[in-house]
Amino acid sequence: MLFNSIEFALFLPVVFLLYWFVFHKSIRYQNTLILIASYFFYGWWNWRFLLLILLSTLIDYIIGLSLENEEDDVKRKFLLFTSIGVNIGLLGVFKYYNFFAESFAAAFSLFGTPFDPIRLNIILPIGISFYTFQTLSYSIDIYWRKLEATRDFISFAAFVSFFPQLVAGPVERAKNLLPQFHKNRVFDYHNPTNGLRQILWGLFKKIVIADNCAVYANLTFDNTMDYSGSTLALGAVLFAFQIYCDFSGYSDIAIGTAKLFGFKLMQNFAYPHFSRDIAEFWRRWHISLSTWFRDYLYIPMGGSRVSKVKRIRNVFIIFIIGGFWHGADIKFLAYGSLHALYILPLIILGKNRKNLDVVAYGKFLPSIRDVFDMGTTFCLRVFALIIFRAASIEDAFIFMSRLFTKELFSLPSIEVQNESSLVLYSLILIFNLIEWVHRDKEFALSNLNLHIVLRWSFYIIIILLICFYKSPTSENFIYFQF
Amino acid sequence: MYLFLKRCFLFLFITFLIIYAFVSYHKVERANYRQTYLHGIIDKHQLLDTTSSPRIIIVGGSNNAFGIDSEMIENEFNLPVVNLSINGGLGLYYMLGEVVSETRKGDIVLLSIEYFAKDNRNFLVNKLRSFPELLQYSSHYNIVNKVDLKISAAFKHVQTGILEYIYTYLPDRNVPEKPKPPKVPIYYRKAFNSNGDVISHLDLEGHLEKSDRQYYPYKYWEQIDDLNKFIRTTRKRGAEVFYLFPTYAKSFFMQDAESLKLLELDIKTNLNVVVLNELESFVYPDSLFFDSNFHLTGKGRHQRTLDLIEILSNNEDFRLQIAQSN
Repeated sequence: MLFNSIEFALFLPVVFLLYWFVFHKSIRYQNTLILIASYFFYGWWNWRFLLLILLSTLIDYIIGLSLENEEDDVKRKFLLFTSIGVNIGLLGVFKYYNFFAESFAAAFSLFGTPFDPIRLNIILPIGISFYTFQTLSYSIDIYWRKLEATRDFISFAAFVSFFPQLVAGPVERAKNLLPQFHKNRVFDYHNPTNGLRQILWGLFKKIVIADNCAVYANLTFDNTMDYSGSTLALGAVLFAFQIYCDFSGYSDIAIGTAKLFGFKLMQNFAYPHFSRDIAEFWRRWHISLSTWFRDYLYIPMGGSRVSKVKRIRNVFIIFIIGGFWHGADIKFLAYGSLHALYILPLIILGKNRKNLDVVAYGKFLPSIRDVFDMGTTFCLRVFALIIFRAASIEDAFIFMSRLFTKELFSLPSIEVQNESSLVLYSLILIFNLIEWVHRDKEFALSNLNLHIVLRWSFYIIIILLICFYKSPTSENFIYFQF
Repeated sequence: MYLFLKRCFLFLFITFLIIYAFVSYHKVERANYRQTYLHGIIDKHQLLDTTSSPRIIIVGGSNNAFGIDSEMIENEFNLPVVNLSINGGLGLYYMLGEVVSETRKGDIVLLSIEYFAKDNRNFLVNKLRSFPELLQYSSHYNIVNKVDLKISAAFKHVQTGILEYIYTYLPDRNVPEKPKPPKVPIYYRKAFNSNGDVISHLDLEGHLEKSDRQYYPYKYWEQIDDLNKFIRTTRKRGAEVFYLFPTYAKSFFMQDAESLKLLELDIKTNLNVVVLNELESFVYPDSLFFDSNFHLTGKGRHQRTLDLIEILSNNEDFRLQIAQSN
C-alpha cells in the first residue's frame, strides 16, 4: 500500500478511529491493532513476504531473550552472530545473491573457466533493508546491555512491522521506538494535528515536487545521447530535488502518521540542501541510517578516537557499505566511494565538524560565504547523484562525458524549459523558500504562527496543488526498491 | 479528541467544497465525444456479446487492430473471429480484464501483446476525461480503483484548464513545429469492420520515420505472472489461450533486438501457455508501417494475416483446439 494511494487514504482513518475509539482501553489492544494493521498494510503488496518479517521477528525475539539471560561471553557472541547471520543472510539472498553470483562468474571467466551462474528470479521484498537494520539494532543493543529484551511478543512484532516506517524508514533504533510500545498512549490534540501537517507537507513534496521533477529527470537520464550538456545538468539538478522530496516526503508522511498514533519517530531529514559541506550534508540526510552506521559500525571500529589513517579507512568502509546498502550494483559502490572522497579533505584538515549549527541562524539571508558553500556542496551532491540515478556505471560515465562539454553553457533544450516546466521551477523556488524560512524547525509546516484563516487557506492551497498539479506519471517512492 | 475530529471534518468539508467548485467550473465538454477511436470499444464489446461461442478472440493493442484481417482467419478455420484489440495504451490489465470474464467454453484467445505492456494509469486517466464509461468494459478494476481513477481524471481536467490559463500569460516561445504529413482520418469510432479490425488505413502508403533510440531496455517482465493468472482463469472457464509476439518495424527491432531476445527467453521459459511464433515472425520492413512502429499498412496487414494463418495451421496444439471447438 502506497502512502499516496487511495487505499491508504481509506486505511489510515479506519485504523485511527479503531485505535482511539475501540482499542483504546489498553496498550495491549492498541499494539495488537497496530500489528494487524501493519501486516495488512504490508500484505496488501505481497502477503507471501509477511512470512519473512514473521521469521525475522521470531528469531530476533528468541535471540533477544536468550542474549539477556546468557552470561557466557562465547555463547552471547554466538547468539549475536546468529541474529546478524540470519538477518544479513535474508538480505543477502534477496538483494545481493545475483550480484555476487554474476561477479564470481565474471571473475572465473577472466581465468578462462567461464560458467553460467544460477540466478534467482525473485523480486526484492519491499523494505527488507529497513526492517532488517531495525531488528539488528535490537539484538546488538541487548548484546551491549544497552537495552532490556522484551517479553511482550506483540509489542516486539508491532515494533518490527510498525506500518508508518516499515517499508522506507526512518530506520528506528529499538532503544527509541520499542519503549514507546510499552508506554500508555494518551490522545493529545497537538500531536495528531502536527502529524497531519507533516503528512500534508510530505504529500506535497512527493506528489507536487518529486513526481513532476521525475518527468524531466527521467527524460534526460533515459535519453542522454539526445540532449546537450546544459539540459543534462538541469536534468541532474531536477533529480536532486526529486530524490530529496521523494525520500524526505516519505519520511514526513511516516513520521506524521506515527504521530497520529502517539508515537515519535526520529527526524530523518534536516534540510540537507542547506548544508555548507559534505560532512554537514550527511548529518542532515537520511539521518536514521547515517546514525545507524555511526553507532553500530563506525564507533565499534574505533570512530574518531583512532589515528587519522584508521579514521580515513573507517570512513571509506562506512561509505562503501552505505553505498552497497542501496543495492547490489557497482554504481552504488562508486556512489559511496565518491562521497568518502568528498569528505576526505575535511577529515584530513579536521574540519568535518565545523558546521554543526543551522546555517545563518536567526537571520533571514545567508552570507555570501554561506551561499558559496551551500552551492558548492549542492553541486558535489548533484554530481554524485548522476552515478546513483544512471542505469549503470557505464551510463553514468556517458552522462558525465556529455555533461562537461562547451554545450554546458548553452540554453537547455526546449523540452525542459517549456511552459509546464516553468511552472515547476516556480514551485521549486517557492518550496525552497518555505523550507529556508523554517530551516530551524522539525519540518517546514510545524508551528506555523498564523491566524487560523490564513493557516487553513495555506493548507487548502497545498491540497489544491496536490490535487491539480499532480504529475502525469505517479512514480513509486524511490527508496521502496531498497 | 472530539475537538480534533470536529476540526478535521470542518476542514475537509471546506476543502471538498472548494475542490468541487473547481471541478464543476472545469466541466468536460462532451459534444460528439462518443465518436472517438476509443469508443470503438463499445461496439467491440457488443460484437463480443452477440457472437456465439466457440469463437476466436484476438486480444492485445493496436498491432492487432491495424494488422489483422479477421475475415481471412474466419474463412480458414471456420470459427467466428472477434478482434477485441484497440490500443496498447490502455495497458495490459485493462486488456486482460476486457476478456477474462467474457470467455466461454470452447473459445480460443489469441494474445498478442505489445512488448513489456503493463498498467498505464496515465493513459486511462486522460481518456476517462472524455470517455467516463471506459472502465466498465474491463473487469480488472474494483470499486476503489474506479473511484481513484475517476477522481484523478476530474483533477487532471482541472489541472489542464488551470495550466492552459497560466500559459496564456507566459511569453510566446515561437517554437518551430516539425512539418506533419497531411492528416487522413483514421482514428474514429466507425473505423472498424464487423470483426473489430481497423479498415480506415488500408489504402495508406507506408511511412515511418526511423529512430536510433532504444525503446525497450530489458527488465524482467513481471507481468508474466499476471498473464499466467489470466491463463489459469480462462482455462477454468473452458477456453484456451495462445500467445503470439506482436508485429514490429524492422529498424526499431534492430535497436531493441538485444532486450527483446531476453524478453522472448523469459516468456518462453515462464509463460504457461503455447507460444505460437518466434520473436521475429511478425517483424516487417518499415515500408509496411505507417504512423507507428506497430501499425501495419493494408499491404502489411495482408502479409501478417497470411503469416499468422500459416503459423496457426502448422501448430498442432492450435489445430487440436480448433478441432475440439468445431
